Amino acid sequence: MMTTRTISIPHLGRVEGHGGIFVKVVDQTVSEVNMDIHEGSRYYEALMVGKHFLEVQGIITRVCAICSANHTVTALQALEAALGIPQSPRVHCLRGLMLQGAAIESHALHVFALALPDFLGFDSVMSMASKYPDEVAAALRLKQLGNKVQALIGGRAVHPINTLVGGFGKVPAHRDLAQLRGELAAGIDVAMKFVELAATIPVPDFAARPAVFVALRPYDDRYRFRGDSICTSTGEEVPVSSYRDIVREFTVEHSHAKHSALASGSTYQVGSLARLALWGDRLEGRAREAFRTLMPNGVADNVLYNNWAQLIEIVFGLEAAVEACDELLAMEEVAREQAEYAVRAGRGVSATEVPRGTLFHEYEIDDDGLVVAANVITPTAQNLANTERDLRHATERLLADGGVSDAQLRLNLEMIARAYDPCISCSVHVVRVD
Amino acid sequence: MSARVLVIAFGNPLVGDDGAGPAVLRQLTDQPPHACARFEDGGTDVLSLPTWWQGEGEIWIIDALRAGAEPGTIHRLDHDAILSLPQTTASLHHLSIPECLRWILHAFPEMRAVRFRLWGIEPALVSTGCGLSEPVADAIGQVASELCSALSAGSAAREGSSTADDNDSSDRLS
Repeated sequence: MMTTRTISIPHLGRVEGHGGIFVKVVDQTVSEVNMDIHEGSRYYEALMVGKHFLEVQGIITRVCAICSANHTVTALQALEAALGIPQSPRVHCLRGLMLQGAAIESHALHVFALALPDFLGFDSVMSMASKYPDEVAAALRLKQLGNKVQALIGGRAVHPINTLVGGFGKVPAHRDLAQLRGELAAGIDVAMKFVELAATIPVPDFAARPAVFVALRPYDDRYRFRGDSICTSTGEEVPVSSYRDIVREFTVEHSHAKHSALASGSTYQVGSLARLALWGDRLEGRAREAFRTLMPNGVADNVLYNNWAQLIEIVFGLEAAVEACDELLAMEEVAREQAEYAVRAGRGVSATEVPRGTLFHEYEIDDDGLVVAANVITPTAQNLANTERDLRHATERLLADGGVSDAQLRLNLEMIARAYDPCISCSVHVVRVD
Repeated sequence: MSARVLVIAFGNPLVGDDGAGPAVLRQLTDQPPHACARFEDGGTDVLSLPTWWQGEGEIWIIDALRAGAEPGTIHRLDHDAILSLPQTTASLHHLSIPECLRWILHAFPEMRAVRFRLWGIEPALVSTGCGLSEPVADAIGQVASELCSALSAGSAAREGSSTADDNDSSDRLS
């Protein structure tokens, strides 16, 4: 007689958004694995069509609170590519600093509040505070430091307003940058304490599976979050402007979001672990030390290590932000920076490495500066197909080991989904009282 | 004079009734400023609250709030009521407001003296799209009006208290 077992997780806890997992097992064989995340960015694309390009950032920044700086920078760079506006060294540096602020904020929230409770046996960050009070406090302060960077550069802790096509409305004063630098430098030791803690925590191997990693090639020979071409761990490389040649989107019946695969049909992973797999050997300073401590044998094909990869990138982000402050402090102090440009028809593409992976924005504008077409591909959407493969593989492996309870299976599948740090509907905020 | 109350709205104006908080905020900022209050749009990240805070003694939160009531119902929660809400993941966000506030108060002891109040508006529809549903739109003005009254009452009470204090001082000095 055929036996059927289903694992349904209608609401994934501790992910940035609303999503669920459904797994069906028939006679010890996994017959169906579906993961769905409410994907809102498609709506925003439609909303931007017909709007003037200067309205784009005010709209796109609302896709997500945690990712607002990332969407803003990527959109501005794509629009500037369409308009042929070069990026000055100061604007490049300020945007880089803002991206690191966003990464510190996002990674700190995910690693400490959403992932670490799984590994330490707690159901939430605040229950973790009973045993790790100092760490739980330090975690939020690190997250807040990321917000502070965004507030100084972007004019607001979330949803920046100081960022403009071609520049910045206000350039931070040296005095404020110097103060921020001090706080960022002090944060490095705090983050390294978390590295020491993480090094004592074993990472299960039920999610281990050969993976294809994708990330931008850094624009110089260092570890960077920006670059001009897309690389895969299987040796492919295409310019960012040809991203559609490498990222093939497709629809699936069970999900609101489009899934992605490479042209070969292979699913792939983007995010911190992918960046470390491709470019981790370029890390320097304390980030390199953190990488060696947490991944002494290099990057493992196990998405659960993405949590530790994010922790390494917190250290990197703090160091990179200190360096960016130094660069800005070495420049002449100015009140604002704005490139002059003429409105013209054009198409522009931009990609940045953001906390969850590679983010693509493409805009086409007409002679009047109105948006004719917009395309946004988020890292979460790119990771979905790979997440389902990991969930399937882990289920098969756990079943083969025998005796796994539904509760254990559910927890392990949630840990996999959470490790990807999926994000969308923090674009929404509703309090609920049950 | 530094503000005594931080009024902060959470929500997304591009996601239907989730934009209730920012809509109230717009009405408040269209009016003459209150000397005792500062207004901020917090987006959808409650955990960024410490970045917005500048030492105010009170933080008043405006948000969409789902409690199973009729759309447009106005919920009013005081400090203790907010912090005693159960932690649920039912909020579309990753952590609920009480969980966020508990974490903030744990990490930022300098904020522990802050008193919170929350005005919540029961949403009808929370999905991508601009504009508020009719019942929520109807409630916006009332919440804005209540907040204005509360701010004015607070200012008057403080002025009275300040005058009394001054008088007391004068008496003592004389």
